[in-house]
Amino acid sequence: MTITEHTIESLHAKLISKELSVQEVVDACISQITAKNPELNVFIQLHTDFINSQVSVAQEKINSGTATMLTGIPIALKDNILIQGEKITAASKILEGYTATYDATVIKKLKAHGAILIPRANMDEFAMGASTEFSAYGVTKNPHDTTRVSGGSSGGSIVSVASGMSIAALGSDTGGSVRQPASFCGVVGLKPTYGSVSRNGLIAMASSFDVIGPVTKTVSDSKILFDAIKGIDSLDQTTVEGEISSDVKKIGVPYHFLKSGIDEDVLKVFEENIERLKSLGYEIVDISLPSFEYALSIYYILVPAEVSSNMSRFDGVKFGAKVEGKDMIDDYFKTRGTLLGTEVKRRIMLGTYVLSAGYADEYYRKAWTARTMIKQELKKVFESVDMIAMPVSPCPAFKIGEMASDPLKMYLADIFTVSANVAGVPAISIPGGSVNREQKNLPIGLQLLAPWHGEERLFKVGQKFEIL
Amino acid sequence: MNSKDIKHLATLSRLHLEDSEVEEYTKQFDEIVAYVDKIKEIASSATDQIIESNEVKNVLREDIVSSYENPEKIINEAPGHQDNFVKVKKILNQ
Repeated sequence: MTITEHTIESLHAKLISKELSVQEVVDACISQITAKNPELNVFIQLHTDFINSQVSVAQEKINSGTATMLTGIPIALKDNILIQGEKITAASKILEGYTATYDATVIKKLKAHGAILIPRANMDEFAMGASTEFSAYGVTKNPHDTTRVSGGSSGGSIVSVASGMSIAALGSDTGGSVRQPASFCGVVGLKPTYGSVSRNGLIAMASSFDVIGPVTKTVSDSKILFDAIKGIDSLDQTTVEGEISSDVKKIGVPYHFLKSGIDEDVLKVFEENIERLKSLGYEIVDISLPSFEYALSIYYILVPAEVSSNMSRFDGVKFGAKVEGKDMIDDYFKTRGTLLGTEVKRRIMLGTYVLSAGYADEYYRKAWTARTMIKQELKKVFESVDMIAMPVSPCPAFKIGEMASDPLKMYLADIFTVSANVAGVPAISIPGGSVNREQKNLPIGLQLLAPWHGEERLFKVGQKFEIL
Repeated sequence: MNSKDIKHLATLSRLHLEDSEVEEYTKQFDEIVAYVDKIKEIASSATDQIIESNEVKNVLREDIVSSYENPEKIINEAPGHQDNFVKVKKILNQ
């Protein structure tokens, strides 16, 4: 096994036993990035001096016996998580030249563990997209077939782990941005309960949906990373803690939701996964979630609404780049019009539309109502089942360029992932199998959803389910 | 939705758009809005009732003032700045 093939757990053992030094691990990751980045486009920029500057602190922790599981472990960071003194753009031209002025709360936590941070993993601009095709720095390619997308928006974080450029990574998930690329590239992606991980220092997309999530090779690594980043934070007033029983006996499947719009081979993998769950002793129950039919509409009303508000801070006055206009207001128009990408502008305008006078009641207010309906429906369903299983994406990784010019088609690909964000419940994508396309095997993930604060259920079932 | 509507939205959103972008967005907006229109099936009468019963609680903290370590770093990130101020073009005419 090469260094970069290790999991957090197995690499930790090698570091503690001194079979490997932190420098050797870091060198292995950097050489993997140098070798593969030109083809896969995973990192927007590689800052080797910063990466190397963290080595001695980590090695000292190991030498003095104060190491944790994450000490000396290289972790890639999506380009929307702030590290003080490091460049960051959220893959947008509008933040070009910007240097973060503080550490995100998750970064403070990882630094305390002596983890090795590898910043600037590629993403869709401001996390808006499902393929990384909307990055201002080019698409991140799928390592299983480089003519296909990695998925998104956390494509860089995912491919970094899938191709051995880092041992783990952090992404952010607003509507599937960790789970969907994890499914497309064959790694484990967790979207934690909304509020369980601080958003302080995460560049906001849609504040009532966003959550930072771990990307790992195994389910037990996912738990290690989640445990390290979760918790109440005075700098994020939406952080919450909670605990529920980790027992799982019954798993619900909303079969009515899988009747159309899903690739036949993907459905076959899902059915095999369900058989496997049965063979592991879980009882499968057919459940009904009628409000899920509204999930995507809710999502594409509320998210653009929040986006239009959050993006107003990028105006050429406070951060990053600026395009000069003839006066103050023209500076706004030129800076935003020129430096923001197609999808970001589309969502800002959609959000402005659903919030405008005369439409807010018909769209925004109704979407909030429907959001509450989904939460109530899930709460009721979770009285009879302990967990829900669904596919992650209705299709395998698609071809680069296949959907980029058809926004609605791209939005529809989020159909199975958005519900967890709408409701705020935790969900995980675990490698479940593969489908063959043009003589290439493309990974397909299984999605498990648990009630609020039910991450332990996901880890427990996930560990039994995954084939290592 | 026509190109006039898109231009109006762009103005409200403080976005300068090229004509080709206006044309592209006009086509796409109709499709997207037609899809999210599904939300209109929800009865208006349901709105107040359900929002009331939403299980969220206020999280409060003491309002304590603390000093920020490096305000100059924040100012320095602004595209235009002078001394300890963010610099913009003239807003009011004499």
